[in-house]
Amino acid sequence: MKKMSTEKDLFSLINQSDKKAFEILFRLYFQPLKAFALKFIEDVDIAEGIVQETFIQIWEHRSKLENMAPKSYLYRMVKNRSLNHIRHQEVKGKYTQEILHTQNEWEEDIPDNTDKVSQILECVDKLPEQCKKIFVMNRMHGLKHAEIAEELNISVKTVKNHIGKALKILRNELNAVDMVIVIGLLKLFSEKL
Amino acid sequence: METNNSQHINWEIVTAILDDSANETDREAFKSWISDEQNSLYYEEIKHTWEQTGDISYCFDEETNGAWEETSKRVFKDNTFKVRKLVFRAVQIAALFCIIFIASKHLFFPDKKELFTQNNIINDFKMPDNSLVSINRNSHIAFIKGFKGLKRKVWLEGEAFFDVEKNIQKPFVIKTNKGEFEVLGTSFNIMCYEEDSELSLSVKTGKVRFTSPNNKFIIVKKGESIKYNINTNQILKNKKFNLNVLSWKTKQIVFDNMSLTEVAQVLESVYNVNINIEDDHVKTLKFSANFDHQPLDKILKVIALTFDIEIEYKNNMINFNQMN
Repeated sequence: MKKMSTEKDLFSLINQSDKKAFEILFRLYFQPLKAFALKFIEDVDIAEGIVQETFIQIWEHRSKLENMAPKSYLYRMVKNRSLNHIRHQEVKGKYTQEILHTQNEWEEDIPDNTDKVSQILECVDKLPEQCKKIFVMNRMHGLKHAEIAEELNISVKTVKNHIGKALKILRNELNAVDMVIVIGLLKLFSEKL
Repeated sequence: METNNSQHINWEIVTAILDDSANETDREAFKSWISDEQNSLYYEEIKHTWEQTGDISYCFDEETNGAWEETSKRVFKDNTFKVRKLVFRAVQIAALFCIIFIASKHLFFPDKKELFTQNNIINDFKMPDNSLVSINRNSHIAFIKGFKGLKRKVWLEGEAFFDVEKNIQKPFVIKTNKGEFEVLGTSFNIMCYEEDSELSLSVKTGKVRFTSPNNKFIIVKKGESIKYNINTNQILKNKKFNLNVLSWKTKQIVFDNMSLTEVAQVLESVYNVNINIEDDHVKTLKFSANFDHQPLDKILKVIALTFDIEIEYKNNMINFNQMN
């Protein structure tokens, strides 16, 4: 079984032109980076554009990517582009205060479970075609069983079975070892009482 | 459901439990199954996986999917299959001619229903799919009779409030001269007059995707509004839903500590009048009041009494004058 990549491996995979790894990186960081850019820039379109361009840069210069945690690199790139954009606007003075303030606080705002998330993304990606589609529609898009069944022209029973299958595969892949250990310990504890 | 073998679990029931959509029979069966320790442990693991994937739903939401589609197209340019591409191109062009031919046939035999307003408002017009549309003054909408086709298409010029019937298989699409809106089932207001360079969208319930003519897009959610300027190609998003956006239709107006300049703007759009305030001080006076289906002159009287100003009707214009 191929070893699952964690967030740290994504850059080295992308360095070797792994398109799937690039997609995972994108899905992982698009929303958080966009929210981050919006701290500097009011315009939603420009913020999105900056994030997109950052990713495009990463792919185009992938041969120079080093094996490192992507988080700080990505955030730094987005911050620099945002500041460059602001510098080209007239209202420089108004934003200087905000920039100084933001520089210190951005470290805390970033969610720290991106490693686990990239593992999950990779697993979801490996699910069989129909199974993956239904699972993503239910878990990621929030569609109910009946809605998925209607959209794909299949029975609700089939939908539920596919979701169950996906959960089973994910559970095996992701190895909820930590959870089992916790429960096991609790059990041990309760027995002793 | 077998109680001792976690391999043969009835997934329908488990997913129903996780999804909170289980009925009595399901819950009973689940209870007896989970009384077994092995099954209980197994269920905890599955539940853990279920919760983990909930946390990452932002990776697959519509915005991210759309952005990925755009980005991957720009980034993964396939240079290796040039020959195949040429053949494909020829087939594409042939197909295009067929489509143009068929489309022109439809253009010459339009089966459209059209609605026009001038100095009137149309309230709650029922469309072929039971969606409701209210149309403001000087506006125009058109749609194919019976909403025939793969999508429910509406052409809009002016201002309208849509209350769209949900139908996942047949998206509701509104086309304007400054961009397109796509929804599944939701209620929202679009203002897109031809002579303005800006359009605005305010979403009351649900979600609406707006796409600009050059394919920039944004998803606007309940309680949010956007403005799009076709000259600067800029989309500005506002997390506030302006209370008076629907006043033209509901006839309910809320003034919450608003300057008279803003009050005048709202009254102008709801009652189709022109209001002028000369005095700078009068412009900044703050007004708070609620009006429900009140005639304009009554509202003006209230303002006049509140601030001791004079309302003057002159040449199709209403003036707020300071009393001396």
